[in-house]
Amino acid sequence: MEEKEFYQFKGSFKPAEISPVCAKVQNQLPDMLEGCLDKVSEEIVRAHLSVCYLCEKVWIEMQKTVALIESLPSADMTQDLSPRILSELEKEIENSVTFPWWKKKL
Amino acid sequence: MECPDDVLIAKTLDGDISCFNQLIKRYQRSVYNIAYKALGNAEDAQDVTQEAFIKAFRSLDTFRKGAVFAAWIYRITSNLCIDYFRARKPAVSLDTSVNPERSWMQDSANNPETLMLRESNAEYIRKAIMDLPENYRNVIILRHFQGMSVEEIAQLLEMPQGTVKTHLYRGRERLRQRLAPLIG
Repeated sequence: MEEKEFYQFKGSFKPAEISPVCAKVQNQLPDMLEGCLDKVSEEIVRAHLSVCYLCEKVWIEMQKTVALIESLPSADMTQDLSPRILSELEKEIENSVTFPWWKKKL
Repeated sequence: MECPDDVLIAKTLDGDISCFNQLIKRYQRSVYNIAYKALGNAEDAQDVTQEAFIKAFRSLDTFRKGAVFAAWIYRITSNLCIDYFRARKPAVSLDTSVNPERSWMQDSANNPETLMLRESNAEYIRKAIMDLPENYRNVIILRHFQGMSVEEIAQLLEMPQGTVKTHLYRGRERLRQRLAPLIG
C-alpha cells in the first residue's frame, strides 16, 4: 500500500485508528514545536501537514496550547524582597525552634 | 566572580546568614516570576516568594550535597503556589464555563468586560496547570514560565533530555484536553 493511502486527507472522515504515517508525524510534532527537528524531517512533516487534516488539527492545537500557557500575564518584581525575607528569617531564628540545624551553630 | 550556590549553602550552614541573602538576591526574580504567573497577583507572588525562601532555609541542612539549589527552590515555589491557589476563593472550577471567543488573547481593548474575560480565562489556564501531576507541572513551568530550553531543564532537574521531552509532551497533552474550550 502506498504511504499516501494512510493519510487522513482533508475533508475525509476521521478514522477510528490513527495511521502509522500519522503516528510517526505526530511523534515528531513535539520536537518541531521545540524547534529541534532536523530540517529534512521538518520538511517531510510540513508536507504531510499540508495534506492531512487530522495531523494539522493536532499541530494547531499544540501550538494554541503553548500560546495559552504563555499568555498568562507576567510582571516585573518592583522591589527587592531580600530585606523583608531576611528580616522574617532573623525573627524566626530568634523566637522559635523552627531551625534546629541553625540552633546547633549558635 | 559570582560565588557558586553550593559554596553559599555550605557557608550558610556554617552560620553565615549573609550567604543565604546572596541566594535570595540571586533567585528572587525567578521565584517571583513563577509565583506571579501561577497566581496572577503581586501580593500573593510576594508572599510565596518570601515563604519559599523561608521554607528552603528551614530545611537547608537536608539539602543534598551536589543537588541544584535552583531546581529545589523552584519546586518549593511550585508547591506553594498550589497551596495558595487552592486556598483562595472563589476557586475556578474546570466545569465553570469559559468564554472561548477567539479574539480574547489578542484583544488589546481594556474595557471592563474584556479585562474580566481575560482574567477569568487566565484563571482557568492557571487552574489547569496547577492540577497537573508534579513532574509534568514542573517542566511546563520551567519551559513556559521561565523560558528555559529542554537542555537547560534537563541539567537543572538532573534528568535525561528525553525524560524532559516526555514530561513536556504529556503535560501539554493534558493541558490541550483541559483547555479544549479555549482552544476551540
